[in-house]
Amino acid sequence: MFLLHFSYDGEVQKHGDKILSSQEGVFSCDERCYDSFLFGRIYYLNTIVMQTTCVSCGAEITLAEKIELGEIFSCGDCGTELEVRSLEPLQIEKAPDVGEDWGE
Amino acid sequence: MRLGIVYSIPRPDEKLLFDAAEDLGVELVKIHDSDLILDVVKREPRFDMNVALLRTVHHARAVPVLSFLEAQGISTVNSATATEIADDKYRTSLALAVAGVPQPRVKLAFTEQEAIKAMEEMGYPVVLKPCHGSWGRYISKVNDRDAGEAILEHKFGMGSFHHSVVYIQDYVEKKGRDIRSFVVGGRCIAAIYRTSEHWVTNTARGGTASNCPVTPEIEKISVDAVKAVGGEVMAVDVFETDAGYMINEVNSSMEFKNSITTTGVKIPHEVISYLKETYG
Repeated sequence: MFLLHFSYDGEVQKHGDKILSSQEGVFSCDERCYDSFLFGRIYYLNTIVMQTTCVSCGAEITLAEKIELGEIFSCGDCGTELEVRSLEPLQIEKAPDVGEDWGE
Repeated sequence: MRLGIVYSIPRPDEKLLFDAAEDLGVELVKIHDSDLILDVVKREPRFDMNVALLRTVHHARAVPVLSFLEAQGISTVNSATATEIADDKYRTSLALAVAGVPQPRVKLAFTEQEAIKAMEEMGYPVVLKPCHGSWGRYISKVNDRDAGEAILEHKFGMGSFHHSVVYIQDYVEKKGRDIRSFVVGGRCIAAIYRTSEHWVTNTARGGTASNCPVTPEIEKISVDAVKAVGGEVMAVDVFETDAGYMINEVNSSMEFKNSITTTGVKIPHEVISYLKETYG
């Protein structure tokens, strides 16, 4: 799931079959569809974030756009270390334990 | 210039390298090693890049990936051979010895009995290290024969064949610190002191970093050590002893995130610049 943080000053407030009522906010879509995110007039995309759920506790997790494949982060709710295994579609798994061969 | 960076986890070090590549206008090909399936016979997947920098966190993946890239005619930094030597403390010591680079005494033994005999000959304390260890794990300071026998029993009982080869190094009194130097393309670009109350001074184990001015002596021994193992971009651990500087270890995939602010040297930019100038 991707979330587009947007603002615009256009009159047409539609994306696909969704009608957007506010002039700024968060819009969700299933894929990176911001190229077709048209409102007829001027719009501004601010940031793009991705959303997923913790594989351990099910908590909702929001990731920044610039996250890298293989990145490890902790779930804010349960503290489980998670690894990004795919960006498109976004997939996370429990991070591997530190191996004996890790490091310099 | 297309630069491949092979990585496992985008740690701060890798992200700094990604950013440096962007700053310097280098086209980056990120290769996430966990996703690789290497078709050995077909030599696929094919990679299109001038040079690949290895940043994998897994020692076990380093040489297989590097040798695969080299089989496609791609230059690698460090090379598979240099990485293989630097990642093996015994082979590093041997390469240093052949090149005449100062280092503490080192002996290798294959049985508990011979390891005890070697330690007795060297005199206590000595340090036992796994040949392929990292981040200072499983290294042991042995103060007497009793401790040596106990540690060896545990080592041989661990089940991994890695621990059945006993690397024994003279214990060097570091007076609370050692030097970590960074060598890029035959130059020592920066160095830090790693200070700790513990005899293990790795920053991964809690050692603190402060700037160490790169003197001609530090530059020479660091560059000589990297040259001895055939490396290009490596970090070197240097002991200060009453008899002069000695090499402790050479690291093929250096971690530098704690050393940029400390030294004032943009280490990732130095690395990328070197690769661009040399392989671009």
